[in-house]
Amino acid sequence: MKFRAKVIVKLKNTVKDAKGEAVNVVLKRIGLEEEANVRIGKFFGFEISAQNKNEADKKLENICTEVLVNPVVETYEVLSFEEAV
Amino acid sequence: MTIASCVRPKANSAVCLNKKTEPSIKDLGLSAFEYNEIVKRLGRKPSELELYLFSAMWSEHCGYKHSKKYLKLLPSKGALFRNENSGGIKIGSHIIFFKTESHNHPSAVEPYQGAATGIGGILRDILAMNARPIALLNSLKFGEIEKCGANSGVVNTDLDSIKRNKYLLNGVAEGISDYGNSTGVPTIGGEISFNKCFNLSPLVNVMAVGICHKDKVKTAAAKADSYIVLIGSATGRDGLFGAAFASKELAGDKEDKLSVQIGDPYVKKNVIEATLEILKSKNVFSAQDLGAAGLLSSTSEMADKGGVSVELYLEKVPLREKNMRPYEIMLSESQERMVFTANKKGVDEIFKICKKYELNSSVIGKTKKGSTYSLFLNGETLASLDVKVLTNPVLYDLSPKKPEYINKLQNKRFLVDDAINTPENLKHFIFKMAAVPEFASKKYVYQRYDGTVGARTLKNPHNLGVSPLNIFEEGKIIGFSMDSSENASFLDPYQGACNVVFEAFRNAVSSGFEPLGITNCLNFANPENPDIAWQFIQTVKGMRYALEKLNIPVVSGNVSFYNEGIAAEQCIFGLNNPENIANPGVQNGKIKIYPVPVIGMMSILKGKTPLYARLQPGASIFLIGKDIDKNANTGGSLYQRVFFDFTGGTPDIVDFELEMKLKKSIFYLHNKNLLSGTIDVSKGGVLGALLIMLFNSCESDKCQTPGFKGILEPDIDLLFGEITGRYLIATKNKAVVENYLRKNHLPYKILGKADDTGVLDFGFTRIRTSELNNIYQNSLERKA
Amino acid sequence: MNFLKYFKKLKAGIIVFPGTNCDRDTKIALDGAGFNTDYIFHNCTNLEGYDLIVLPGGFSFGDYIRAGRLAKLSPVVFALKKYVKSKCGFTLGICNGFQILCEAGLLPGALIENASTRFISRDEILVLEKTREEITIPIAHKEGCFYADDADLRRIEENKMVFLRYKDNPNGSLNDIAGLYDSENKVLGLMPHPERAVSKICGLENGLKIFNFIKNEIFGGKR
Repeated sequence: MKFRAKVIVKLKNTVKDAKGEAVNVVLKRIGLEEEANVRIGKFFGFEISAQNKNEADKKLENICTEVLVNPVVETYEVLSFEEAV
Repeated sequence: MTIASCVRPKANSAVCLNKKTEPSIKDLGLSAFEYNEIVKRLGRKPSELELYLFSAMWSEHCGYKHSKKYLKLLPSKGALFRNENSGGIKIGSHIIFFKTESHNHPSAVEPYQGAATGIGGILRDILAMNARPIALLNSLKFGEIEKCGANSGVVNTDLDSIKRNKYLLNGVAEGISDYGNSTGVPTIGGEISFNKCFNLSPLVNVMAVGICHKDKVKTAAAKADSYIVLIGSATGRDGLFGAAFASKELAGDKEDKLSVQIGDPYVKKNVIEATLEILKSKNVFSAQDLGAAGLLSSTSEMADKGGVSVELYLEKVPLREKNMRPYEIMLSESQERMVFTANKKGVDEIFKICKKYELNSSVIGKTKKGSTYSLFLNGETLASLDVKVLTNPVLYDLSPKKPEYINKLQNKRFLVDDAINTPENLKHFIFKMAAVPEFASKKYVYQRYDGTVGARTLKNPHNLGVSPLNIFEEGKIIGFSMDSSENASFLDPYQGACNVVFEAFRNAVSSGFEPLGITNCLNFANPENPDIAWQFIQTVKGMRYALEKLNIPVVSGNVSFYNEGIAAEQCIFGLNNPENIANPGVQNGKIKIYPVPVIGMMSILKGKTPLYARLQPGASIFLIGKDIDKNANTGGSLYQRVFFDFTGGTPDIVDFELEMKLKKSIFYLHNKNLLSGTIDVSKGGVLGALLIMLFNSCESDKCQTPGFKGILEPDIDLLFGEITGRYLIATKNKAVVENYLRKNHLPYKILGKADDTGVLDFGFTRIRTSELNNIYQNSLERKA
Repeated sequence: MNFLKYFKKLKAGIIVFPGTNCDRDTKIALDGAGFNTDYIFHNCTNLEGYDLIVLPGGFSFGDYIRAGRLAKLSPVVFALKKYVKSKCGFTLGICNGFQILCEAGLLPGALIENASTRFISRDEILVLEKTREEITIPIAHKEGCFYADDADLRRIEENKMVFLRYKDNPNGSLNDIAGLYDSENKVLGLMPHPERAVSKICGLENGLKIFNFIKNEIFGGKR
């Protein structure tokens, strides 16, 4: 079976997001939004082959924690994880 | 209507990417004359695929068809490998290769990728010689990022353009930063300027420097009966028609984005290491980078230079996209690729090295005795052409005509009203000068470039007239600079080009370096226009004069034509007014760039240490060289344009004898350890030079207190006017230096003395150094 | 002190990942400091026999995903963990090397994007924590802002793990941290580039002090 994952990795809320803050400043300056609280993340779209959903879930978690995320400063969020049709 | 929404009337981008209809010859950028010439030389009609091949190889970008005849006028004595991917100059048992390339058109459309892949391209040229790239420089030109003067000129910079120019500046800087830094080649210097003639056509000229032992240089010439191996990224549709793209005029058509290549600095770094490892092998004979017109131009040049036949098997080319047509494979400008020719053993070695660096590698063809260039797909012959016909486009004579604007502008005089020269006004202009993006510190951009990777860079390189590199292999320090002066070149292309060479010369001399040779990048609008043709020919002649006088060669070079774009209507005033038709930079609704010959000069340190442009408290400051007076030719000076929006007059003429005398004295005084700082007087005139020396001292010593006391003449032209043949020298041995200058009949003037009061006392006004320095250091960041 | 080691040249290994770009500079600096230096490609699985392992600067695997993230998955980093654990020798990470050491968990904290969001290349004044001596060394990085959570930061300061601080913080690093030990004083990460400051001709020699200091550490010198 093939599964398709969409994952977002972003800085933890406690970590200063320099890029996000730079965008905040611009949004404020041009008058589009006073307090936008922009946080910038990275999107990952990828596929996983597995026998079943359980195995796929395990693989997904490993990929996220081992490769995509640095737990000291980042967290991740799985936006969707579905069998590819 | 804004620039971005301008639509080009003739849709050149529709070169039938999707349509089934055959491309017309004109769509492909070939003239009827050229088509007939192809038929005549082949003795038959070319096939559709062959026509595509010709359209790329006979484009301006690959074929230099409008410039080749004239470039031959430039001196070459002393240059090595001038007809290869890059030329060089010998230093001991090593050859220093250096070359410039333009990436103007791609950067106008997509600044980040355009600039990044510009660097990628020039690095590959150096690499193909088996030289390790050791430095990058760049010359960047943008439209205005703030309104200058009264905007009474013909071209107005509207707010949308200012926004766009800032976007281009930041995009280009970021592209160079991300790409250059990642490849591990330091960016050590360059120049940035702003002028409304670049509103639609920014210029991104990049220069790379490489080093190779003289016995290990590889060239492009292929041997018969060897294998052709392609390594690096897979081939996609990116950058398709880049060569033809670079040879057309730009408008902000969104579809142009399709033509931009995407760079991958990580793969490039691996390609650099793999290539240098591959070229160590005796079983690998030649190398070529894949740049403009990709596989086609690289392999046909290998065949042409080696005098052999080339057979390519297109099914062997690793592809990134599906259903690519043969012409797409041949013309793709996918980045990070190289081709080699090698024997069987060499092929195995290449495969092994590529595996180590996780790169694709594939044998895609063979060379044979003969002179045929043929393409096959699964055994079927797709094209078969005489190499010489393919690689030798029709060369044109230009039909120059002196533009009307020249006399008109040269006869204009910038009249200094006495009312301008009040102490108050002048103080105001000093502050203004410190803040002008063109004059202000460029650290906002330069700090984004890794300037020290490679560990060859000297401390505080930006405080020198040239960017110094330690060639520890030979125990020598060499220097590089990039210079240009579009204003002088516009007013008088001949004198402008000559002055730029001498400007580079003075940069070297002021740092204690002796010039050895140059690379050039000649940026012009459409050469088929007689005005532009005239500008081009005058530029080449002026450059030739200067180089012959200095007895230094052109080592390598690049020409970029068609730098012009269609302006939105309200950007141009009085277009239909016959008075204005012949006016600066605008014709038939197009903004044409001023002629911009960019010079990249290589020089070598003469004494033991370089001469920095800095001041120490207690040092006396001399102005040596030409005297400036009310009758001097200060045409093209920065202050006239940025303060008064004035372009006119004539640029100053170089006094060769004086330049030589000045060089001799500076080297002599430096050798006797009598100089504590030197700078050549250029942008911003005497006052500009003095300020830069002071601010450099602030920056490098993190000290805010340098000061100055002296009497300067309160006249805007004498303070800021730009003429040739002048330097400021600083010394703690005033009497000895003065005596020397007098004995050698060198014109000089003592301006004053540096101190540590933190105050600049010019006689007519007093300014706190820190206040002015703050503006100088941070102005660009504030404005960009 | 092990006097025998004074007569035998110390052996240093420089780890080269695809994308590493300060390997040659680092070799010149280490050779100059009296080491016997080898390059070690990232697929190597055994680091025994080296007195010093250096992870030089650059953009390992393009720094794709984030700086040092993909490099920590190379075989040599697993070997390095063993090397560190069994106290075989001293480990130095410079710039990208520092980032990799943090990613691999061999040093606490992480390095995130500079507060300016831009790459910064310039000479920086730094303060050696132990002697309070000020030295100028080039920096060149885009992700050099040191971050650790409160607990880690406290542990770092309490255990005196800071080696080097910025005098005029260029990137937003917490506690101005520019260089950091692990808790055993056997692993050192540095954001500045000492290997770019070892040449009299180039006008910067302060980097030599750092390499000499490390030599001393290997000889068992106490901090």
